[in-house]
Amino acid sequence: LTRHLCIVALLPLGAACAAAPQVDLAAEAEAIRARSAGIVAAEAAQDVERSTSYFAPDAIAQPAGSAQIQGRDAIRELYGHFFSGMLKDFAGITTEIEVAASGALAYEYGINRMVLNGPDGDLLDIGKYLAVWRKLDGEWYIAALSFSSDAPAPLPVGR
Amino acid sequence: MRALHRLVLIGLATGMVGCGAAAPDGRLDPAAVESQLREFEAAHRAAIRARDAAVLEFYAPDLVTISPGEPVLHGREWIAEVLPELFRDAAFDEDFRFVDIRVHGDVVAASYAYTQRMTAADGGVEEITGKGLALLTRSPEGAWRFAWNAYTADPPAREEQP
Repeated sequence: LTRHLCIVALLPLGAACAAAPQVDLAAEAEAIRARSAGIVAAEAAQDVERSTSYFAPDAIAQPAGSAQIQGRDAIRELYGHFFSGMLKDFAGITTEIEVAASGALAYEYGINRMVLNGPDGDLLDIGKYLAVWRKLDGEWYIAALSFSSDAPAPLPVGR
Repeated sequence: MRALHRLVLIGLATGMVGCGAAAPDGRLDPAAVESQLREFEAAHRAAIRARDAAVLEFYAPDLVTISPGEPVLHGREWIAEVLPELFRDAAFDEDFRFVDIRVHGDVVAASYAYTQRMTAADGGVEEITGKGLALLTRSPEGAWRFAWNAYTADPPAREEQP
């Protein structure tokens, strides 16, 4: 009887294992959400090195009004430009994350809110981004990023 | 009737783009996918030049678009709304070429370069070049479609100084 019970107890476990997906997509999405929050915090702190560290070595970025750039050095330079007095405040919010069934690629889009130092006061810029994430050595890195403003030009804050 | 016929042809063409790329173990063959995406580019170009509304079929119904100057766009209805005006513009043309194609299981991530031409306010032809980032997935029929698409224009070309 004891033996029989053991077999019965093992059966559902085996069935669950066989049916379980190879990749826990929900867990991967949560991991990316945490990484995304990490880079937003680094950007809000205007920390060039920490922000750059979230990108894959061969990552590309496609800013509006600029040519595509590639590699961490170019991305570091872009952050240096943004953080050299232009950016006053930054926040980013993830809207959606999709993880490919392979578990090696994911994509995210969300909303950016920036306050920029303007010649006549603060300028508000609301925009959005698309980030493609790639898993490298067990960690998620941004492989490609596109971002643009919702408006033709930033608006004076409060108007 | 003639237009409907064309729609069906384009539908079939896009439907075929995407079939036969899966290896026996279910993974996609990157070389086959790249070949399909080159056909996808050509079929998209042909649909634009034929002023064929079936160009919509290159975009998933739940498309996410990250476009400069406006908030995130959801769905492909906005394309259907702008197409008639674009198609009335004799100068309108749009072309793109995938630059870097990465196949990850059932999803393709690709960057691309695009050129768009249309009639400018002064009556001349305006040409805009830019770059984009796309996630492509397959329809239930196996056709590749843009699922998420982000694009930004390049800086305006500077005129050469004499």
